[in-house]
Order: sequence, then structure tokens, then C-alpha cells
Amino acid sequence: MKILPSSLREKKRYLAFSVATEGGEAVDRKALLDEIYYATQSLLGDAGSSEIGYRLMDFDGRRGILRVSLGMVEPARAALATVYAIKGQRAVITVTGVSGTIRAATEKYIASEDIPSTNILSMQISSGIASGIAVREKGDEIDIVPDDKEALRRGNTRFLGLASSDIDDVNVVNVVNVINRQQE
Amino acid sequence: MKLASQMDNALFYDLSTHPYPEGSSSPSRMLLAAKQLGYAGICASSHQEFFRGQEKLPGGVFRGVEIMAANANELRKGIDRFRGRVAVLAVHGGDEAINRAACEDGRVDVLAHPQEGSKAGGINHIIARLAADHRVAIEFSLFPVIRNRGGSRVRALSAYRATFALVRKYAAPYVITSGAMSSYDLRDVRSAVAIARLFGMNESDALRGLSEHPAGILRRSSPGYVTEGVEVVEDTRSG
Repeated sequence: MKILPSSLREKKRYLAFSVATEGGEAVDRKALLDEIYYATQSLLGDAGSSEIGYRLMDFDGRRGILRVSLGMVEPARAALATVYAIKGQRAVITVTGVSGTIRAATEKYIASEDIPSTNILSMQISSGIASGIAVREKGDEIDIVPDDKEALRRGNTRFLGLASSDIDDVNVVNVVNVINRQQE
Repeated sequence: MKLASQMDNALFYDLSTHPYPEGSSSPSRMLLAAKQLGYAGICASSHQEFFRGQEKLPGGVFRGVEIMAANANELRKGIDRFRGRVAVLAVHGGDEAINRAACEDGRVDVLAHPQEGSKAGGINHIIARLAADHRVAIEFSLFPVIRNRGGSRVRALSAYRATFALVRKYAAPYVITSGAMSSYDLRDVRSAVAIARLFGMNESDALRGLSEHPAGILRRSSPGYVTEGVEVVEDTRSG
């Protein structure tokens, strides 16, 4: 079949987005799409989903480009915001920008910024806030398995999220001591 | 674009988050995530059983509390106890008598989730007018919209729609919040606007609920504030 002339094709918008999961691993393309379709269907129904007409143009496990119909950018944004978990793991999809072409979306919103690397740790820490075993560190984010598990249940997460500013100098010394001891 | 220009000039605040020890992100972690999502500040408004009051909060995290009370008398005692200690005083809404008592007391800043557990949406024309008169902001939390599916979300959205119609009619203040129990419950400002549009707000209504109304509450509780339009400004000449 002959393809439609460009003037008759529906207008599209390209959403640049990023996905953050609690575990920090790369997300599977199919798992992401399943979750997006499920969230959109429960919020807007089959009719709304078909009107949005999602198409995942590109995805590297963390960032990607999603095509939607021109008039449905805002409903699509709302639907993406209601994604709560991917494969049972807490996740957030953040739309970083909207463009009229794939190229513009990629150049403007998928910048080649430095993504802080994730370090897997295993060390006992105690800050003024909480104590537990630090398991993951990414930039200023530190995730710990706290001694107090009740907060995890209320927050519905696997880890307690701390920031580097929660760990004061005294404790950094403790952490270093732990590392030294492990090396000995 | 109109939205872009409005968003450039405004500061956004999320007046209801529940960091550790209630939720599972520390106040600093919550703030770190909120800043990446376009917010200037957040309020740590834990329910009173988790309120500590002494701990140091990072700049940009305002101290708040959400008072749970069984009846109007208990609520008044709670307000007496906490008003001097917090920047943002919220009331755990839902019960109609509590919703009404909260909106009758000008010392209350925010009536949180008035629809919770209530069939009729929790707000009627009388409560909406009281809220407007006493400057008590009605909360629209994104939490049930993000967290729930099916019937309970439908009920929350219909209650929000009915409540917002009254809030608009009587010009009561309102705030859009995340109600976050962890940093994974926070959403960016544009997503919050997109969700608010699902229950009858337009873009500028939503931006006011994220910026103008919460900023007004924070200004009222700043140290130099006396009354609307009157503020003690530090004398810089002597220094």
C-alpha cells in the first residue's frame, strides 16, 4: 500500500523520558511498555490509549523517546506519571521534554550528561537519622537496609533512601574504618 | 508558550510529604528528588505520632505536622499544641465534623485529603465558604491518583472534581501535593499539572495550587509576618 502523503499524516510529538527504578538496573523494553500500556489503560481506557497511539522509538534501559499524537501530550504525561512500579519494583518515569521531531528531542533532552555510576556497597552505617546496612550509592543518593523495617512497609520501598548529607563526618570515619577492617 | 513563561518565574512547593521516620526517604533525600523535579521546597508534614520537632531539617524542607483527631475538641487541643512549633499545620481530614472544625479555625493552614473515607467528597458549600473565610487551604493529593487503580481512584477523582468546583466558586485557597511516603511518590511539576487537569483544573489553576497558594502559607508562617500586608523587615541601616 502506498504510504500517506506527509500532509495527510497525523501530527506527532516526541517525548524524551527517563526511567528511575529502585534497584537501579536497566529496564527491559517489554516490561516498560507493558507497564505504560497498563497504566494508560486503567487511567484513560482503551479509547484514550488508542488516541494517544504510543510508539517507543528508542530506549536504552534508562532513557528513551516515546511518540504520541499531537493533541494527547498532556493525557499521556498524566498516564506516564501514574506508573508506580515496573516488574514489581518501584519506578518513576519522568518526561524530560517534548519536541516535534525525534532529532530535536534527542539533541535537546537526551543530553550526553554524566550519569553518576551506581556503586554496590555492603557496610554498616549509622547516621543521625537511621542505622542499617548501606547497599547502593549513586551520586548523592545512598540506599540502606535499615534496622527499622516498619518505615519500608509504610513507604512501600525495598530500601530507606538517604542523601550524602545525612552521613556526617564522624560516620564517614566509621565507614572508612569498616572498609579498612574488611581489607585486613 | 504561556506555561513555560509562568513556570520560569514561579517557585513551586510541595506542602505534604512524609519523610522518614514515617515514610522511607530521609528529608534530605526527599528534597534532593524534589529539586530535580522542579520544586523549590517541600514540607515534612508527618502525622503527629511521628512528629519529633527537634531534629535539624535541611534548608528547603519546612517543618510541618498533620494532626489526627477523633473530634473537634481534640483537634483544638492539637492545634494549641503544635501551632507555635511548625511552619505548616495540616489536619488529617475525612470525617465531616473534623473537616468543618478545621475550616473554622484560622490557625489551620491545610485541610489534608477531606475526601478520604467520606461518601460525599467531604466538602460541601458551607465548609468551602468557611475555608475561604479562614484561609484554610484544601489539599488535592496526587498520591491516590498515582497509587490506586480502579474504583478507589475513580472515587478520588470524582471527589476532587466536586471539591474543586466548590473551591473555585467560593475562592478558597488550595494546594496540590504529592503526599509522598518515599521519593518514588514524587512527580515533576508538569506531571502534577497534567494530573490536575484530569479533575477539572486548568493549567493556571494547577500552577496556583503548586506555587501561589503554598507560597502564601509559607509567607504567613515566616518569622517577620504580622498580618496580611504587614511584615517586620530587618533594619539593615544599623548593621
